[in-house]
Amino acid sequence: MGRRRKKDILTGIELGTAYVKVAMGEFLPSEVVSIIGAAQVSSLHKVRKGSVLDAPAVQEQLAQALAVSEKESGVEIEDVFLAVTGGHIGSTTNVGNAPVQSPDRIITEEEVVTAVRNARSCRPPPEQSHINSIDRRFLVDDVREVANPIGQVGSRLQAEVHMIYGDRGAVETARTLVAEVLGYRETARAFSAVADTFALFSEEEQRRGSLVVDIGAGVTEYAVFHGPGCFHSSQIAVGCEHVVNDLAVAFRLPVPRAAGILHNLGDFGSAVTRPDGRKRLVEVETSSGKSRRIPASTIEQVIELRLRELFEVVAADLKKTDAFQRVSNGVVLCGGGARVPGIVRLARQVFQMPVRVGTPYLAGGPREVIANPGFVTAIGLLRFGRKVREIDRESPGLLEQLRIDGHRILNLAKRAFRW
Amino acid sequence: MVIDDTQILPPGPETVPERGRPLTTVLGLGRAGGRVTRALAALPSTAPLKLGAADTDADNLAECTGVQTLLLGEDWTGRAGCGGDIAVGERAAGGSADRLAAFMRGADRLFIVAGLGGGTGSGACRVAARLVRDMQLPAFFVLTLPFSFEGNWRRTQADAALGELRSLVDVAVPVPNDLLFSVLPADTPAAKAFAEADRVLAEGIAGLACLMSAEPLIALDFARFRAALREHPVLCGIGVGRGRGPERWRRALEGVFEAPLSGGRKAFEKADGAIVALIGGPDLAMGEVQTCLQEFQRACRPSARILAGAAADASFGDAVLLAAIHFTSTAPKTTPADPGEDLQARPTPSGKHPQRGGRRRRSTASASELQGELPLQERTLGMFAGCPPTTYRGDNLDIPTFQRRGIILDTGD
Repeated sequence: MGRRRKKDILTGIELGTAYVKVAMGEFLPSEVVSIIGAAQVSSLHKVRKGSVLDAPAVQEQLAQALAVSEKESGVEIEDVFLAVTGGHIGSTTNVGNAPVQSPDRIITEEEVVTAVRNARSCRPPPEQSHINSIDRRFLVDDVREVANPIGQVGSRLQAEVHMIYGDRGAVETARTLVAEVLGYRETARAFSAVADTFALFSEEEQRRGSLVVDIGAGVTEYAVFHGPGCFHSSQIAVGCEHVVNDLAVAFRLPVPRAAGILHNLGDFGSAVTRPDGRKRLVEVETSSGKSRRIPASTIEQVIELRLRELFEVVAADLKKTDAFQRVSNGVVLCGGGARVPGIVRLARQVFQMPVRVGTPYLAGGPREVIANPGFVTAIGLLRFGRKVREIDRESPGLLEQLRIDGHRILNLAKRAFRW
Repeated sequence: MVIDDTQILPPGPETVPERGRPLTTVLGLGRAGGRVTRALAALPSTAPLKLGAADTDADNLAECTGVQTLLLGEDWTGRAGCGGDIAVGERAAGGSADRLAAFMRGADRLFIVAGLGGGTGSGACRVAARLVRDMQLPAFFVLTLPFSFEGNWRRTQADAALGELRSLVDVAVPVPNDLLFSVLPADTPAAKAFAEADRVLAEGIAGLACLMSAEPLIALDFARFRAALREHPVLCGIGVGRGRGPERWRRALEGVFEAPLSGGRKAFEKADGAIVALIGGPDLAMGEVQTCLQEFQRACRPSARILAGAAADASFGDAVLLAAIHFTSTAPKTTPADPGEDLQARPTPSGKHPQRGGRRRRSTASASELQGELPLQERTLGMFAGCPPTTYRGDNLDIPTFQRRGIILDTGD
């Protein structure tokens, strides 16, 4: 194989609660992303609910993961994109207006840029760091919602931008940690659910309406994309570790054993309770050496209660923001938690929509990476990264105008300009 | 009393250049802004000021003597103003954006003065906010809100424009015109009242410009302004006083409380915070500064947040100028839920001692009179103990779901 040009290799890094994940890939002409190196290293409980507790320890794990990836791919890492998550992440919708200048009242690119700039110019709340800005909706004359405002006739264009923020301390800790390992800062960062959306859905599917729920060990993130960009995104700091904790408390087991039970759930049951009393029994060794027998249906009950509550919280938030209406194709689950047996059925009951476990679209590479829902975020970062670079390359002048406080921003409306 | 002198603040685009005196540019937008800049031109100013007025109405601009004028949107409005339509005002200003930018360029500090509620002021402010952001200039937006008697429509427009501007600009100082009524007697002729308001605004701006361009004794820079005024949406009042001779600071302080747009001493007593600046000549002593500022503190609430600054300007001679801006938050105050009067449930009355309210008498009832007790529900955090909880609608989600729902489990033998 000829030596690949370093510039074309993108790397995605996710500092997860269970694992630090790295994926390296390049884009083939057919829009396929080819994963040439990937690694998953335990976070050793130094990351909790998506936030880094012990930076030097996580740094070591990250360095290990990067080394393994680089070895597998045979290329050095260049551009890096970082996924950000945590219980502190919030989002708002900012609105920007632009009056239509031309006398025949046709909206041009200039008005779109002005409106989007005005929307993005809002400062982040105090002590919050900006993570992503993604177009949300375009309204003409405050009434008509349009997918592409260019060419529409009206006197005023309103652009809504979905802006995602995170606690400055937590975000900077993660960024600095990565920068210390690499020697330079990441090229861009994305909220995990945004990266997931990029991995799982084509641009056309995002336009029609998509919903992804990423069930991680520490945090569950979710995002609804529709039209020009992201309609709503949020997170709830509840994940598979909560399931494990519930099991440990319920049956008075040490945490690793409870984790083992969850891991082997498929052997005896699923996340949806089959209430058959004590018909199925699971043997568990307690710390004193004796073995206990726990009814499988109780284990399922504990797990189902927790996961059902998690989905109900997500569903309630989506209902509150009217985001459900925007979803065209049902719910897609990803993240390590998507592997829990029966979770799809449970989600279907709560969301009352078709549910499936997602795999990255148009992605090639080692089977254990592509088929692992835990890698979706890291792979999504590659697509996200490519988008950011595309915008940079295409219209550097425009990006210069749009730069605020030196932060990179993502403008999906640029897609419209190419129509 | 909290005086913010050693706060650690996020960096702002504030630099004082080494060469000469920093240039302060004042741009008045709309009719109100134009009048303030005209008042500034009439003031004997000591700091280098570049004054300009921009408006869509040519007649208004003709009245602005002594300042550079910019007619906005000639082709849109035909020199006749925008008729109170903010959209027209914004479009007109947008059309002349490059001329506005050229005027603003090169300033070390920018004051933009406008009256909200009309057309040009509110509309051009948005354009100005954008230009300021692009050029990364430290800018103060001094905005006046219309009188209550001017009608609902103007007030609503003004509030909407203010809300939008607050998120667009670094420092917005909104001053309601209604403050005029608190100090001036009711029989003041209207023209005189407006002229007084313009004068106070002009003096306030001149004072601040002076403070930041002169030799600072106590530094008060842009970043602090921004930090103080951005925390909550606020409404402000401005007071300026001058003094000369012995106890000149006291005279200046009285001047501040009597200034038309300050709202009087009462407003300072009620305010959430204040920014106060004392400027004097080269003989300004630190002791004087201290006494003056302490006196000012006393006039304010104990919990008020006060930012103080002082500077010595050679051209002041033996006079002092005290400029104060007080700000009050308009954010809705959240009060903690009231738990109610009687927290203890009444014990079940028995034949022997009728008990009234559990508070006064400790229950000495025997076991038979006590209600049956439910087993205490365990709230175990397990591995999430000691970690910031995930809360949702008042529930701590780290506690296992089955525990919070009170579900009894069959855990086998």
